[in-house]
Amino acid sequence: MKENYFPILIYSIVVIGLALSFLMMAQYFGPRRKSKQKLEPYECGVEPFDSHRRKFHVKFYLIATFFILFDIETVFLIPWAVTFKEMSMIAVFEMFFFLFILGIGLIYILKKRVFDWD
Amino acid sequence: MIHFIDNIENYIYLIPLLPLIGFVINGLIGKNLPRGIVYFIGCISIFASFVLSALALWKVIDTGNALEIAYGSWFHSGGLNVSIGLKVDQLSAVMINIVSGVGFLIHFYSIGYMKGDEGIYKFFAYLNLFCFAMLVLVMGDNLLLLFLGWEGVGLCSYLLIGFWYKNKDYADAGKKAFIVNRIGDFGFLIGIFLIFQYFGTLNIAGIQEFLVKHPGEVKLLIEGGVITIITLLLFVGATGKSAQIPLYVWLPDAMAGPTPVSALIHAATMVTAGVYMIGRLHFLFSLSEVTMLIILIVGAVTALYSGTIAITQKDIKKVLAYSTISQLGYMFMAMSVGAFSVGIFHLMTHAFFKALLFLSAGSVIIACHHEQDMTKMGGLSKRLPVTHIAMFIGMLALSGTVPYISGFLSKDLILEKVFLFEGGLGVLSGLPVGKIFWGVGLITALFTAFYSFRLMGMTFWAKTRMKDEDYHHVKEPSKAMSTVLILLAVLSIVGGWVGIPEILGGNNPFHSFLSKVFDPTSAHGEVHHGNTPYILMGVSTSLGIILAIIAAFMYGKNWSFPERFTQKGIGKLLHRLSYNKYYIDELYEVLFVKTIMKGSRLLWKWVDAFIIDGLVNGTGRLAQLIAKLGQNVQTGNVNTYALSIVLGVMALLTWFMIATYNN
Amino acid sequence: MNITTLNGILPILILTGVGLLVLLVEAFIERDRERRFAFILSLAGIIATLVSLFSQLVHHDADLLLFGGALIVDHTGLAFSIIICLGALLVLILSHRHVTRIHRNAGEFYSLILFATLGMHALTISNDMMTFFVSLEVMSVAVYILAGVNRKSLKSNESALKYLILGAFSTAFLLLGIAFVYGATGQMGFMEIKEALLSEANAPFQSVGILGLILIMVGFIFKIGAFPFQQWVPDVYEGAPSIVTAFMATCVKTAAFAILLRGLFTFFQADESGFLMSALTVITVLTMIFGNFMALIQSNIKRLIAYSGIAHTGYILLAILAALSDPAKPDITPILFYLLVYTLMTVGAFAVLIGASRGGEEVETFEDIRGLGYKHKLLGLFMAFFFFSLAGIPSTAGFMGKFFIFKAAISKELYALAVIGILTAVVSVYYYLKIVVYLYLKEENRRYEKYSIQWNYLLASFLTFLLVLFLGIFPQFGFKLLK
Repeated sequence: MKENYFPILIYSIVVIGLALSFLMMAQYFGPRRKSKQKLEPYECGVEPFDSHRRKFHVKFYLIATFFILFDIETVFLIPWAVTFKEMSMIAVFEMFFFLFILGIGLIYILKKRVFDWD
Repeated sequence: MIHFIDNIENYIYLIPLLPLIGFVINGLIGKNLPRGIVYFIGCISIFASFVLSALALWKVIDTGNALEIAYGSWFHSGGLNVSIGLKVDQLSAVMINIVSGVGFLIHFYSIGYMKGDEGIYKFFAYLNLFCFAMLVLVMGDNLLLLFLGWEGVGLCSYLLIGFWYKNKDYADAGKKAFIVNRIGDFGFLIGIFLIFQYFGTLNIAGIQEFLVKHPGEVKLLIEGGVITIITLLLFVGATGKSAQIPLYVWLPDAMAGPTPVSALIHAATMVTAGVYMIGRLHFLFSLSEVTMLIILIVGAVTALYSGTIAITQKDIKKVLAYSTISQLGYMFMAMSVGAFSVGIFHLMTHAFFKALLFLSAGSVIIACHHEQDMTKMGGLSKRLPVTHIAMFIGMLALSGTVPYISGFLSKDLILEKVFLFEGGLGVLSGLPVGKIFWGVGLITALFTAFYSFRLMGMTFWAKTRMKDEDYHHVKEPSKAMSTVLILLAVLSIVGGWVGIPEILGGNNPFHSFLSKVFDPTSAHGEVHHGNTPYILMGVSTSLGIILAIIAAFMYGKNWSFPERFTQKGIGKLLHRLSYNKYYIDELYEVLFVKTIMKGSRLLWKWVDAFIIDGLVNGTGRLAQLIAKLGQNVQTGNVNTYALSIVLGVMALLTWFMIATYNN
Repeated sequence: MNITTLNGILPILILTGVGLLVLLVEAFIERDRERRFAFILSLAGIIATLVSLFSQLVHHDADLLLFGGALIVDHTGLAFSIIICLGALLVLILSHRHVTRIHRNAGEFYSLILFATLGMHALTISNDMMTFFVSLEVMSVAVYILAGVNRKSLKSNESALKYLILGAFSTAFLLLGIAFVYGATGQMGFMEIKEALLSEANAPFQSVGILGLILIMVGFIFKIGAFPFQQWVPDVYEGAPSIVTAFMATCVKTAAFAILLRGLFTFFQADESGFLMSALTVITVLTMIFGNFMALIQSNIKRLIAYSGIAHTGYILLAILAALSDPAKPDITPILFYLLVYTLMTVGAFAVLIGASRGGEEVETFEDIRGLGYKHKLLGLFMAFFFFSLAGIPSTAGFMGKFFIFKAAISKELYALAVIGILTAVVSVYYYLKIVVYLYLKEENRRYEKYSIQWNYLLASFLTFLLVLFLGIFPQFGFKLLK
């Protein structure tokens, strides 16, 4: 039993060793010529026009978060939609209960004026 | 009323309950009550309890049977079924009378002593609570109830030492007493668990019954050393509560409490709980020779050791504190040679004369405006005649130098029993163990005589060292206090007459009374040994008297000789060792307190700072070394913690792999 | 869906409904009225939950499996849930008025408490990996937010972030473990996993399954804050607002213990190598030692309570070990009793700490409580009592709790563990007494102005005081309550 794992051990050692040695070789032997272009951040071929540390409005983050939340809901809805015929009415009820809770959440964030800018 | 007295066994629950009621009343509304009523409630509750105790004692003497009352199951959990029950047999009858009787006198004394203190109601409430806990301790019919009382008295002692004064030293003294006691209780508690484990019950009578009914099993337990382990663990508890080596360190510090508290708790009652417990479980203790021998050694060493410290202390209460430790050592010696009734006898007489001594000391302290340093007193015999006589009687009893005074009777019986002890295991086998320890006891007695009369000399007889105006202001404190002193002085003389042994012309009714509890056939039976007892008595008494006279002369006028002696050379060294209590407090401080604190800090540094941080940095350096990727290794806390989680998981998994690999 | 099922999930429904309602109240009703309304509503919700839990416990005769075995309504789970709800109730009482000091919107706070409680209850009765994980997250996410509820306090923010990051980190291990177990057995239900692990056919995968269980255990140990994964505890407890700390130290811990216990009882028999047991033994010992000795050197009271909480975790683990060593007839009453008592003492101590905080400043150092016993007699008395109880002084429930645990350990012949436990308990007296000493320390020539506190702090501390005293004298009542 134990002997069977021996090749795996050898294999892991070889893999880790190889990976490390490549890194080290690149580090030690690779020529390094720094130039302005090389050190600049890459931006889809377009020359960078601003600092990448620019601040975004906090609402972007909020809306992004809510987008993910309600997006995930779809992940839940689609398999249900495909199979609910085979399930009993309970499944319908449960899904509506889920949507109801989600709806309350939506009402809450609307009422808290999350989507109002400024 | 007659009905009540005849059926006293149905009412014994009132004995602990009355002080509890006193505690509740004084504790809850005492603040708003007039002082007179606070005093009244505090004293009457314990007095009523004393009357009931006396009735119970009378009934026990009359019928010869224990009074028992069971209140059914308290709780049961996983095979453990604890019932609540109180029991007054011969042993507890003696104890409850000591506790409530001396307790009452000290309550009464406190009226005078604590006069003018703003928190008097709290003081009386705590004293009552203490009496309640102590009475539960001695009346409980099972070990858990005994343990609750045991812890309860410790708590009250803490409250009365620490809470009373608002400064940090006193608070620390209380804390020290409490924690040292917890170390003892740790042993006691494990002992209790083991008793349950092996005997299946915590009921004291039940344990005794088990020992009788299952001789085969008990034999195995004895041979397997289980009984020895159990009794040793219980004895660890006793060393804590009864201030024996190595856990005695709290008692001298506990003197920070008010003097009536020292008298009641730290001399007469609570500290004797360990002796009582051994008496209560004597059937278990006598099964282990090893334990008994260890108790003998610890008791004897403690007695002598604290005697040598007491002879140099300046603080009047410290002298008495070390003397208490020493006398407790005597009691343990008596118990360890199987002379249980003698040990309890000394417990009783000691309760009388040590309470008397402490209360007299309290009277001196009050008279000198809370001065406790004896080198600043002297010549008080003229100003405090009643206190002087009372304390003199107390000292005679303590030193046992006058035949037929209570302390003489009990101490001499102990020495005799120890002398006759024939036993010894291991390296001690073959040696005349009894005679060796008798020698230790004798030397202790000489020290006792010396420090007793040194105290008398320094305080009462020497030329005064007080300022003139102070000296003339010294006057006998209140009537209440003097009355108590006189009563206790009488008790200190006659209290021992119930136990006059046959060789002195008595028939020792105390012993035959207690033999109902302690097996009458055990080693402490009255056997005549020709002239030996008389010779022993003569030796110890005459030597004691000589030492007492020497001390009285050395300190009675001015103490120029002892002062010269301690100024240089060997005298200085010995004095310094004894005065500083052999530096044991400092040693403990370094050994335990500092080490534990340092250890904890080290642990923290190690786990949190060194290992984890070090590893973060280490892996960081390693990574840099290998790949020189040049990234900054962040050393924020969260990273450290996350890494520690990874390390923990890795450790677990490695262990798991090794474990499965080995299978 | 029939009546039995509905009754089984009634506590869940109540908590969900009330939680949502409180959220809507928060959104629709103006601020002044909102606070009181939300408070009364959540109080009613928790009490209703408690009542329904009690009625389930009273009428409980057979374990109830719901939703195809996803939930199991059994005696153990209900008892744990009752302790949790009791803790949540006390925290709610405490939070009245106080909550606006730490957070603008009271409704949010209340609904988070309710949702966390919901997660905890679901956790105690969950019976497969899926429900267990979802409920764990419901609880955890709510508590992450609660830790940072005081948005103006940097410390609170830091505490929440730390808790979130480390919590998520440990959850990753937990998920990995679930994946391993699923890989080894192909099952999600606890019972099915156990059977699969024990079956002969599955033998080659057994060690993979155990590996998964170990990783799952890591997640549990993180939540209860036991030794190698305890480092977040003091930081998070110190930074979070005291009231949230009280909630975390009691309810979250109890819930984590509930699921740990269920997991261990189900799985440890499948581990033939006995590895889980020995690992747990080592963890127990280290936790008891580490918690107590670290608490010795603390100067911040909240940190001290955090470390002492680690120590108490160690004692409960000891009780679990004792129960596990007798798998045929495990006795979990010591565990339940201790958790009940611990919850009461801790909430009580926090009630006093919060009540004693003046002008929005939290009580932090020993100096802050110096002379408290003179400023407010009753508070000082309660506080001293709670710390005596935490130290395990007789006539308090804390003593009884420790007594039963050590007794159980010794009767299962775990002598070394019991001795370490009792010894470390002796150490703990030192730091608990230090607090009591400070309560009654007086500086010379300084007058302490007396002050009054609001009724709810007094009520909460008085209730807990009575219960701790009562359970200390009549422990049988506690057994009955949980049986």
